[in-house]
Amino acid sequence: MSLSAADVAPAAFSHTQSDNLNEKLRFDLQNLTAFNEFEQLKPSTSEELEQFMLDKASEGTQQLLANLFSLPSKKSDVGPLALLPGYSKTDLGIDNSLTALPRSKPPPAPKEETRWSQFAKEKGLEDKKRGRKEWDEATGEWKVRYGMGSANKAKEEYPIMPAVAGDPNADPWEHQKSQKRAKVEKNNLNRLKNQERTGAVPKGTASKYEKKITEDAHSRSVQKTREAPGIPLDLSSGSSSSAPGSRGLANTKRALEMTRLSTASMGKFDAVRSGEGPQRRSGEELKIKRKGMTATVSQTRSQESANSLKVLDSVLKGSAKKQKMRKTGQMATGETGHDYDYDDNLGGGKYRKKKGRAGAGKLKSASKKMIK
Amino acid sequence: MRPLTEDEMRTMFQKLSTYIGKNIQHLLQNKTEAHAFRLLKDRVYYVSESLLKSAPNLPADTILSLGTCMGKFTKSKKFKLHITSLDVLNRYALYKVWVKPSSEMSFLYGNNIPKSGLGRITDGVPQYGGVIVLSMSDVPLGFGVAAQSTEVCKELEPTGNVVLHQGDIGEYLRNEDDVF
Repeated sequence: MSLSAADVAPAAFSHTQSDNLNEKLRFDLQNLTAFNEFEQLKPSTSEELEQFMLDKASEGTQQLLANLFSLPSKKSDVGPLALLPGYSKTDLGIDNSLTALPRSKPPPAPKEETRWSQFAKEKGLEDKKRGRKEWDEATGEWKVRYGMGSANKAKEEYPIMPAVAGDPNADPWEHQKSQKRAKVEKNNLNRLKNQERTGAVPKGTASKYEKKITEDAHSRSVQKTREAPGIPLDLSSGSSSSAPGSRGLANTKRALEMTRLSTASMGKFDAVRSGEGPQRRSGEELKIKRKGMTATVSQTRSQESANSLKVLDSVLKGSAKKQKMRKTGQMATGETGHDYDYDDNLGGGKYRKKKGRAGAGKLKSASKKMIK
Repeated sequence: MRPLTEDEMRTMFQKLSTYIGKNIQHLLQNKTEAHAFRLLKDRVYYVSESLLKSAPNLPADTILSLGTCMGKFTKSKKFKLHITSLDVLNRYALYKVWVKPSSEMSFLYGNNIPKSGLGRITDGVPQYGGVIVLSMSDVPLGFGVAAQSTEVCKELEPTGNVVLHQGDIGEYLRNEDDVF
């Protein structure tokens, strides 16, 4: 016998049918949703509004349930089950049956152009891919273009350096090093400026970096002018730019960093004062470990299911140690589900290799004499 | 909403395995559609992939529940199965108990099942193993823990408990506020 909604609650059902025939709702049965798209007169007081909303909701629910009961059904051991309409794809690939959910966040903004790409567009320059490898004429081999063991590097490392123009006493090695550093810093600065333009980093990052570069350069020159190691900086004459006897901003900061790490616990238990910023060791970057928590990408999903299967395996079979103990018979088996197996401390039988002739196993080439 | 950590997964699987044993792997490798377990406000939900993909469309703090609620982690980090998981448990259950119509209502009000109410029982139920409670017409009514193994049950006096109550479908009415 099939059961309809009217049979279960005749009073409520007849009421709906008679009163709301003119307000036919739109249904999205797969999502169990009904939409009332009719214009409504808003009641004036809040109590009336509350009652009005309740009435509308119950009408909608009744119509929705009536629609569910009109769906084709399937028999099951818990009573009839309604078969909800499935996904139906049109030729355009658009799903008609489902209500599209709006995004909670706006779509990402288009990428801003870097200064170079703007320039290249104006000039009509095409983006040409350069290979990762380069022909090295000195050795006659293909080598990587940048980094360790890169091609045509030998021409930069002269065995005899030319004197620096203008200053005959300057160290040419030091000069080369500082020029390379300047190149790297300029590139970093340009990169930060581009990122600032696109909004990837907050405004003012590039100027902060520029300030840091000049500060570092200054502190390097201060270090070089120090007379001798071991003499406190405060007593030294000081460089030309900072006042005599002063440490300078960069060095003061560095000294503070060092003192913060100079306790027995490496500063782990020290209270952080306001304005000091997070503690870090020299060269250590602040790394935020982000866990892929709301991962829906199929790759992370398959990783997740593999992980959960591994956990399930260890739950069902016990840990690797327990499995080994069970194999060697060190576990006792009980009668209830709880004392199924536990370490009875009696020890298990261990496989020992037999001594004597039988122990030789498949050692076919051995003669009888050898075995003895 | 987030996936379970390894410890959480372990405690949940331990509890689930008393009811469905190895069949947990059928939950993890669902043939019809990929499913996953997700934690939302201490409750564990069994969620299909299509639902999982549409969930990010909604602001995270507005999601109240999704998929099938399997149970929740208590404050002491133990896992408690909820009655909403009955459908999943019943599909893969290892041990089942059928209740006589006379003691059906008593179980549905939250009482244990005595020997006198026992209609049928699966063979080989271990003591304290998880069992699904069904009516004689095979309608799942709830779940519980076997107080005695099947062999001991046969020689039990009529007042002795066979199944200790853990959850029943009467909770949908009795604990309406807590179930969802």
